[in-house]
Amino acid sequence: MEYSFFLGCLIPSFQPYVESATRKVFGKLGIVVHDIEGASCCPPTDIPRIADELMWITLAARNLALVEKLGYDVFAVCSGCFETLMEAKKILKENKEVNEKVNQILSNYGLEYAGKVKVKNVLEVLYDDVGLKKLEETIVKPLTNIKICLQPGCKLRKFDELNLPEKLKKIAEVIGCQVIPYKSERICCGFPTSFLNLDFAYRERSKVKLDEIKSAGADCIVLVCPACLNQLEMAQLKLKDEGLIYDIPCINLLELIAIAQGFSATSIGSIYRRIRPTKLINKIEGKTHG
Amino acid sequence: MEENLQLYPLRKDLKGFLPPQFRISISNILSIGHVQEFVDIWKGRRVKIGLSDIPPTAYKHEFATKQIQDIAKRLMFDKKIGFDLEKRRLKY
Repeated sequence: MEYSFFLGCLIPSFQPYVESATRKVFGKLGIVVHDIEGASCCPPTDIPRIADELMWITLAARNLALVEKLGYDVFAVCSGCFETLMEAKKILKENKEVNEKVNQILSNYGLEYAGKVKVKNVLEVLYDDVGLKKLEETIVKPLTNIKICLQPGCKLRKFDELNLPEKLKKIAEVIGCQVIPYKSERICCGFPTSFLNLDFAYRERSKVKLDEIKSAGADCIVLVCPACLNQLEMAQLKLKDEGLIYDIPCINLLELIAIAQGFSATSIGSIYRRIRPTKLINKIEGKTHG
Repeated sequence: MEENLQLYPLRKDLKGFLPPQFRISISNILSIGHVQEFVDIWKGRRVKIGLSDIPPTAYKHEFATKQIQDIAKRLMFDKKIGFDLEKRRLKY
């Protein structure tokens, strides 16, 4: 199996532990990952699209054209990048006029988008292409002693037919985690509203989730979306100033898979984050009992 | 306006149509190809965990940023949002 890896912005520049974990997990599974040299921001559907839809789709199509040049299906870990590439692909397929305009511009750089490659979420690659059985075979240290709450995020739910939140749960269970359900699991982390009202985002969205997750007794929040990770970490720091202590690490699923495959948290870079998961790592490594 | 700016370079647009919350993100996309800046501190950390020091994207490849700016110019997006392609920043 070979794929192009769409990195996006936030993962390589601020959450490199996710990139590192993804490469390690895929390597262990025998999957070859190709870098898309010169790929840019996806760009997010909700930001540049407000300014100019044709600009948005041309940049997205440029990324897809670079993928086509490589010749492998592309996967994204970032839920925002996945959403953009999926939406752009759909529009380029359905709207001939836009497709022509975009390709005319791309031709100036020797690029063409013909719609040949598939866009996949990392969860689809792991669940559908690799399969839970093969994934389980690579697990050497099942994480049976940790309890987690999931944060699938809004964008995974946008593509109903792919059933991505369920795949997130099944994969977490296969690596041994005990998944604890909580009432506000379907609620947004607050990130999109943070552009307009930071206080609302922290209090009416992030805090609601954090309160329930803390009550549920989870060792960590597991997610795939880098924006959710960012938001739930920042909210904890902000609320700490007001005396509300959560201290719940936000961990990308790929990091947990890598740890379950035998990689150390240090080699992944899991310590390079705002809320260090020291307690969680100690618990996984059996240094404390919880 | 262009002519006036030649004569009076310190005069610049006072506002644009972009909502303030999105200015930095859109300006970053046009100036570096990404919404998030890449800070040097991550270079060493990336190498320590087995990654290339600079991500192999527009962060590393100047040609990518140039293509994005050229696309903006062709679609007159730079004019629309008041982005100075030479200075790589919004005019307001």
